[in-house]
Amino acid sequence: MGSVLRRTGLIGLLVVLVFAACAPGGAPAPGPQAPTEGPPVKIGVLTPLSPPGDAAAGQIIIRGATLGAEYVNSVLGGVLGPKCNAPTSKVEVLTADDAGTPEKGVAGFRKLVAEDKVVAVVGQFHSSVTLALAPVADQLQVPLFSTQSSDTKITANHYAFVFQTHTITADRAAAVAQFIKEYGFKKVAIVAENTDYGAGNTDALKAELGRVAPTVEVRGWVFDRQTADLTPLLLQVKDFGPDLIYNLGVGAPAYLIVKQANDVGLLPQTPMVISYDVPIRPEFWQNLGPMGKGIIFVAYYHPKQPLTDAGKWMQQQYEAKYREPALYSSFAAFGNVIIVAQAINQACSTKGPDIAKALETGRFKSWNLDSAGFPKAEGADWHRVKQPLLLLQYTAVNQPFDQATILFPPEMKTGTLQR
Amino acid sequence: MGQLPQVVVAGLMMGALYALMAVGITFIYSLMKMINWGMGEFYMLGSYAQLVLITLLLGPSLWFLGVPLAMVGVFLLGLAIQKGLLAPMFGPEAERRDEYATIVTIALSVLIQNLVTILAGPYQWSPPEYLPLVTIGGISVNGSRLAAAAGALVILGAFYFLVRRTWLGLAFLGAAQNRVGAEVAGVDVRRLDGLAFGIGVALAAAAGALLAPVFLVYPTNGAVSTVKGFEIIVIGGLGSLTGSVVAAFLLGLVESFGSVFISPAYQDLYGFVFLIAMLFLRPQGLFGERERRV
Repeated sequence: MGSVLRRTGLIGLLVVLVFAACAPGGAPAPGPQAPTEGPPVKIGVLTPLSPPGDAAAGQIIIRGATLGAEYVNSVLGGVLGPKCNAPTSKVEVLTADDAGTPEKGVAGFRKLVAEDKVVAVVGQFHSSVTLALAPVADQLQVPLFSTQSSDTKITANHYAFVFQTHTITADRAAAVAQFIKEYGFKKVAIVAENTDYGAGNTDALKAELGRVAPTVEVRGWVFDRQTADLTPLLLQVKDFGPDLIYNLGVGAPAYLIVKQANDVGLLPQTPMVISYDVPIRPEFWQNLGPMGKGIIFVAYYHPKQPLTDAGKWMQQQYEAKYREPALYSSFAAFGNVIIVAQAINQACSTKGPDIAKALETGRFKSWNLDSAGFPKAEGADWHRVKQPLLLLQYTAVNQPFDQATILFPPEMKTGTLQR
Repeated sequence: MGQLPQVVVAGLMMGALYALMAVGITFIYSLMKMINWGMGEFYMLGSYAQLVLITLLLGPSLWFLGVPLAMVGVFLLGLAIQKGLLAPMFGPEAERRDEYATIVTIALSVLIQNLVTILAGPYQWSPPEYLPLVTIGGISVNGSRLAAAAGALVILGAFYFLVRRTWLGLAFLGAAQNRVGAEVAGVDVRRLDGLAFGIGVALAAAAGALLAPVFLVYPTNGAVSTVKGFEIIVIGGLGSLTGSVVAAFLLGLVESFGSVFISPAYQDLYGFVFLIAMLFLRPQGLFGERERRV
């Protein structure tokens, strides 16, 4: 009985195989026409996804990087392919958490390179982490992109595998110093966290003010990033009697400085500049309410600025997917991923040194630039694309980001400073 | 120097809130003879509970109802955790209780932190302010901070009443003094362990809930308060509730004065300097007693 069943089963299997082979659209015959797809090319996104890093920024960066991969796969048709005499590959992004700390960043970078075999890493947000990763990137010969970390040393140290697409400290200091000069501020208090970002920006602004506005009196205060009660520090600031406060906190400290400056009576009388674009995030108004009115902040993107076709694609996809306007962090990560993909295509290689060489010699489309490049330039301009930088002010409670007044640069001004 | 009254007020207000954390740690230690390394995560859960309660359910005007509700929620969670994870260490077959408690509470802390990051996201949030800015004797004080300090004093008062003026409190004190003796006298110390753990973590949750609009709500907001809590219990004397309260106020003042008169950059360092000085001068802490073992 068993052998009969086995025999019938074998005959049935044969019939099925013959039909399958004859049927149109059946198993594809091997040959030169068969579609060839190479293994996915992996790009790492190493970014803060947990505190003490600014994890909110990390999430927004991941959104942009993911859309970048979608753009490469759907619009650019993947990487490599016939032009490179190789199978076309799709781009895949793999994420890792650096928690905003150098040690976790280095561990995450090594894991992405050694285990996940990524060809490049984007997503860097905290300068301390990027500076710790830079020598490791050179050692492992894997291109590293500073998506939103800004310390001048990142490019000034001339690392062979580190590329900068974000505004650097020197640019920020120049813009803020010009703003201070233009609006006639005389006494500036800098409140900075004890990180490379805080210290670097404090020194840079002091130096820049010494150059462009030497009569301005500047004093800096440093606090530990983990400290929640900044009242004693802000009481000292109040004693100093500044006419402008420069808030160099990142993440929770940026909010705490605003709230506690209000408590000790510094706000709303004394204008405050927040050093990065945290006020464009959805939680800003819920956290600060009326305290947010009058806040001036540095931003790297304004919804009214021109975008490339890739940038417009990203803006539309982002709004459709997340039901909110795209933010700079997403644009920046998106731009990094599509630049890496273009560099792979120009190099026809996924090897780190080849990609780095293509980045140094080629021109690339990004979200806001049609021809970005990373030449081996002098000083801090090494391997970096210069980005525009704006200073905006919220003039009403719950004001949408795109309606904030542009105060700087002068050629883009949409209103005057409200004190 | 003109800021002196404001510095004193800021230091005392922080002291009241530190006291809640420290009393919670001390209370659990006194009964269960274990350190709860996950205390900061219960602080964090309290702050999230308060955020949800007053932004989604109660509204900002009923913030004072949010605090006890957050405490009750965390108390129940504490009871469940104690029963499920910590009670086995008092079983007859359990060995190396200290190591067991350390590993379990550290693992618990990592688990809670990561769960909250997944569920609520890594963002920083703030519930609306409890009260507007108030001016007392020419000193401008944040209303929420004042409300939080007052709330902390009320909760500490209620805790004092529970411990000193009720039968349950006497049972706690008895078990803390001599666990075997209390058991011989008919006290169910296993049940007291659960209650002590629940009350201890509820005190941490109260601090988190009270401080939610002041220090924001995010997954690691409890980390610093845990460190302060441990500094305080060593300064005050391990196991001494009075010592914890006194040391908490002293630490608040030391940090506040150090920040203003030395440098705010080292605010968290002053507490450690104070702690080291105390270990040199009085190793058993302010209200601790020297222990002799044979």
